[in-house]
Amino acid sequence: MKLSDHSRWTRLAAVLAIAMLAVAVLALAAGCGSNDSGGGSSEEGGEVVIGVDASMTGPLAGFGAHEKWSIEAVVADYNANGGVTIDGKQHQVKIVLYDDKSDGNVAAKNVDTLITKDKAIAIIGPIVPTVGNPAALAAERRGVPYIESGNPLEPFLAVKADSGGWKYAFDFFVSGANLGKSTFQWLADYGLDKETNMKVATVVDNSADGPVFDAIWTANAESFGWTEVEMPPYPMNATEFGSLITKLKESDADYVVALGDTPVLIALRKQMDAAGYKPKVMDFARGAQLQQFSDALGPLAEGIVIDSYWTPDTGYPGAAELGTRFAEESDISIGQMVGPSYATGQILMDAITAANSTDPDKIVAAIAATDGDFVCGPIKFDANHTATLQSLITQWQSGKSEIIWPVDMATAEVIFPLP
Amino acid sequence: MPSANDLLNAVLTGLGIGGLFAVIALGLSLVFGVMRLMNLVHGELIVLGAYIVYYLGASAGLDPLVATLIAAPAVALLAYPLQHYGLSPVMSRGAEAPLLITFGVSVILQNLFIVGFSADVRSLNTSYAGANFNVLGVTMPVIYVICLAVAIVLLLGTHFLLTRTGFGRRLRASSEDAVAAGVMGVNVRRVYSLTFAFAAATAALGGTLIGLTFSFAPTTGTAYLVTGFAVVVLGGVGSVKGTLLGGLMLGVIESIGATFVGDGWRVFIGCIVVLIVLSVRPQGLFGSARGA
Repeated sequence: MKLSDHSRWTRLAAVLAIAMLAVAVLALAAGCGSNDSGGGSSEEGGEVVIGVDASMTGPLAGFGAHEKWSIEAVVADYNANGGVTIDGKQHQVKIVLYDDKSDGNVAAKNVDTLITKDKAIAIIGPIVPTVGNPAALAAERRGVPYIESGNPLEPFLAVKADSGGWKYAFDFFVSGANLGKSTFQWLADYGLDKETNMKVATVVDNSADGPVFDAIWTANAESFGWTEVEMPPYPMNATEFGSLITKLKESDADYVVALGDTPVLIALRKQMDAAGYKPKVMDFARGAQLQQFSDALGPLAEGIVIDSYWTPDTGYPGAAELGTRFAEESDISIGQMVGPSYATGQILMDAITAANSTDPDKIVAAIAATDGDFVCGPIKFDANHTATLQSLITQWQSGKSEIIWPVDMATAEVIFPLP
Repeated sequence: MPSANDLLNAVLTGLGIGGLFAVIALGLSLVFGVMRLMNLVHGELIVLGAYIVYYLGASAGLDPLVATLIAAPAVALLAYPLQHYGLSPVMSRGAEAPLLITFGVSVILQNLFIVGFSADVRSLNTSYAGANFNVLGVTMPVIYVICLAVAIVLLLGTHFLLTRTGFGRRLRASSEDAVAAGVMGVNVRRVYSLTFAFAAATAALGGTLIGLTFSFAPTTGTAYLVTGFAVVVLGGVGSVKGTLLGGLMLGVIESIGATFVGDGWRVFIGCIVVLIVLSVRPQGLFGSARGA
């Protein structure tokens, strides 16, 4: 064999080997890139696909993990009872889940893919407005029913405020107005506001709900008689807070309320401690509700108050059982979105059965007619496609998120001031 | 307008943060200076070091700084074969292949971290990480002093290694002219691998400091890779002195800038500084100008 023939065969062999490897990798990626779960087809009808976008990586990954477990659990429950009913036939539900990497652009693309490639008849959206709003818009553009929780109502409504409101997307969560009120109401109800200097420092990030929280806290601080010291907003991925902490110290505020993602709030709390700054009360919204916040901070998390909406101890139907089941089936710590995420699945699958159809408009009408008690409390959608959950105030105590407000739902005594 | 006390606070804390930046950037600077390789897996080596320290603490109760004495060599041991068997064979074929390999390994490691450790955010907690003391009327966090001290010791030690040891001579020779060094009997491939391993060990140390000062997660490495490159560009590629001074300079300027305009502008200010230095002195503050 000539040297050139040998080189040609060698190159051909190399090309074939690379091609086979590429095919194998692509096949593996197709199997791993989406997360399919759900039953096989029943004898009566085939599968129907419900698409899910969740933040499985990135700063919102803690929420995504809870959402994934909850959706898979509720689908398994429904499939065990035959699934959903369409045109009089029972259909097993298949979940196709994509990771948006805590990125709104990726969330929107995922929803498009779920609808166009995976043929999802409805979408369950991710948690937090940064990813939830783009995902909802993507589903709205395609005319596909969409439901989410974890997106405060005001940022959700603001997206379509000037264009006639949502037609296909639904959101149920706490309202920013109630959240903002509860941030100060709990102190008043316990009389603890009188033990402070009635100065509150407010800190928000530049996320979609940052300005919403900023406005709501300002309004409620005034109505509850607090003097507000507003701090400049910070970028969502900030890690350094030297200047902010200096300003907080200078503000002399006994109460600090801050909005941010988990890594940011962890960094802020650590740097506050390192700088020797400790107000009497701290309320951290959004990122502090995850167990990893408490686990990462250890004793530094003790006494931090969280604007909340669900724990297994709320007393809602099935909440305690869901919490027990989560502890048994999952190796991660429970979070507040477990209940509402489970309920999104309940509401959607009930609506599909009530619609008895995969027609988007019929499913939308059925979701809009939802009126019942779910694992996260009573849900009834209004004309704007939103439903309000009861706001709670919880507090990290010995690594557990205890309800401290409303007072009649409290599961523990209040820790005041910060230890 | 910030007060004199605020500015002093910014300078002192900036020095601490700058020390952290310098530790992160040292490995990048060495690898790029010696091998002309932009090591895109450096960020993940930082995070890997943090995870090893975290789990040594959780399982054996080791203090993070003590656990680093185990984590740094462990990361170095993992990095050595990556360079020796993965990167060395393709380094003679241009810059693209090793760059892509490090990028690919970076993606693989991020996903392995997620699978192995979950996507949860973690932090290293110790009593001294939250302690502080008063200096000239400024509350100085102990952790920032530790970062600065570690940076100075590490970079002085590296300078000694490079200038006073046989390995340092071989490394400098390989950096100046790999072919000539090879002709003179230097095992250039082995020098490269040991340099890469050393850089990985310093990355692990940086991971410990990041875990103590902030937090970390599987995808955190990318942000610190960018910071590291900024320091390398600022200080000059391959210059140990430049890495230290560049890191300190970046930390102080960002902190002072944040004092005036807020923490949200830190990264922007840092980028502006890098751009200005690049435009005035492309080789960095302490790098040497190379002919075209």
